[in-house]
Amino acid sequence: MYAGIVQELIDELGRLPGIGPKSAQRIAFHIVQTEGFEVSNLARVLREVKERVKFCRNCGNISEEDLCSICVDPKRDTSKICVVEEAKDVAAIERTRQYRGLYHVLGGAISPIDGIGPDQLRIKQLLERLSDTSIEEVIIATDPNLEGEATAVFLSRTLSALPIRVSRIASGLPVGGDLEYADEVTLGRAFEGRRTVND
Amino acid sequence: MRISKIDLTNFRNYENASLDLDPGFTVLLGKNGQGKTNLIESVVWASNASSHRVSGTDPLIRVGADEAVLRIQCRQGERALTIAAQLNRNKPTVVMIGSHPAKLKDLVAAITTVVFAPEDLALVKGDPADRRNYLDVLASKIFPNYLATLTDYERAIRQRNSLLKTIRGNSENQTLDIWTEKIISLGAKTIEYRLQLVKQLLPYLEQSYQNIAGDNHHAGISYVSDIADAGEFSRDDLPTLQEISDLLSRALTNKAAQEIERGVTLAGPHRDDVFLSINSLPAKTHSSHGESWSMAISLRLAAAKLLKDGPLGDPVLILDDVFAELDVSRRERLAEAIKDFEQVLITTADPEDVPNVLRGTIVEIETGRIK
Repeated sequence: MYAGIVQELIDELGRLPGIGPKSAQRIAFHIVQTEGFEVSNLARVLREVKERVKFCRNCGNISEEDLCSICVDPKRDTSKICVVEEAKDVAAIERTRQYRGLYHVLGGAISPIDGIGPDQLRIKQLLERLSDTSIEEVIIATDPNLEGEATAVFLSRTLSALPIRVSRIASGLPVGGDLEYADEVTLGRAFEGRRTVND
Repeated sequence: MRISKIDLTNFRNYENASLDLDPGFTVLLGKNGQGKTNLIESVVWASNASSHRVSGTDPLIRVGADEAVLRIQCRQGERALTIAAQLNRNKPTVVMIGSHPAKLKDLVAAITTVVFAPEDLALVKGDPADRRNYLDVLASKIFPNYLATLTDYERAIRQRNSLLKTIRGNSENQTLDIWTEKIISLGAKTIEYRLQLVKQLLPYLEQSYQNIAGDNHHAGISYVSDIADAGEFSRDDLPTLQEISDLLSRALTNKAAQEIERGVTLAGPHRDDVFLSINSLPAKTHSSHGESWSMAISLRLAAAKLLKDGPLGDPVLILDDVFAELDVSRRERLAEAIKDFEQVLITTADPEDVPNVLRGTIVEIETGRIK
């Protein structure tokens, strides 16, 4: 335990995800000890980020405006919507630079243990967006775990009545890896999801 | 497979301990409460990612310490492998296999052990959960996908039970079907693995029971589940995955109203049991104390021999204070049945309890120190 304000700083830092007590202490001492450490800039950014950043009215992605930069981008393909659990999944898919369609962030996955059902996710908003007939495909990119799969099944059933192509991203082997090092479950999935190459 | 070295820091009552082990038989000798079982518990933990005595890791960390470290070196043929783990009081356990960070579940495939312990009597006389656990631990070693399937199944059960509790009395929930389907697909797969395992075990159990109790005795094992009539799961040709799915699906449909009322999932592998018989009579209700011990030991012995004949080879046998529970003839018969295994670790308070053929290296243990 350190005196007063320093301990308070360590405690606050320790509340952040991925930062344990040791790291919190290291960061706190860095801030306190390093000469010329410009702490006012960090403090300003922290305050402003909470003031300025909100969720896109349309897709639920993080944004500084009412609509996010993807929703307002005229170059995006508006016939496709990719459904993800969290805003950080949008960032991950954007890094591929392959997908040029729009997104829809659900805000989680169906998980009764955590009290999350369809009503707690942004599914109603998705259905509203889909009433726009220019949308041709919905790509479900929820996590390939139990809850993500359950959410994907729920979505595919809910959307089955609509005249829209619904697809699920593939799961299987990582690119650049060795087959022999893949775990059994992943390899099993890759076999289930195999495709024909000679047609 | 054999263990060549154990290093412990702050594990149970060991502040620091190191023990080199030879192939063959090693007797860990010490009075009660000195730490014999704690020593082999580290091997069991490294093999199953769980202890055979307690759940969780907190009891394994020495009182007053925040972390326990164990390093187990083993050899399979010419191949040497080191398993290291750091058990933390408030943080997740960190595991290394060889020089690579690994997940807890990877441990299950690294070292194979079969543990005989006084608690084994519960396999015969205890709850269905004890017998399911016996199948689950063994199936995890034999079928690489089993643990992942079971883990997902158990999580799906928790999810479905949570949902059932929140919708009490209202069957019009739009997501219940999805969880029911998950239960059916994961549950049927779990049952299919268990049926295969029980079928493979049966001849080994018959043989093992005769080894322990005598040639004119017959032991049986079959898988029982509410979802199928008695006998359905013990026929020669096992039901297909589709047939199991249909049975489970029907059982869940029949119990749907009751499930919504009670808020729990009432059919599936989490409620199944293993039926054990001795000379065609149910072992749980009809066996004497001695017969029950013969059955408990035979179940462990059958598991050890099944593993021995498989691709993993000889498991390390761990006999934790079991000779004290057995009469002289059962001791001798057990010793005879296990003397061909590559490595056997025995703990005892009294060396006289251990049959002569198994008295190999003797290691004395006193208050958390290896002499």
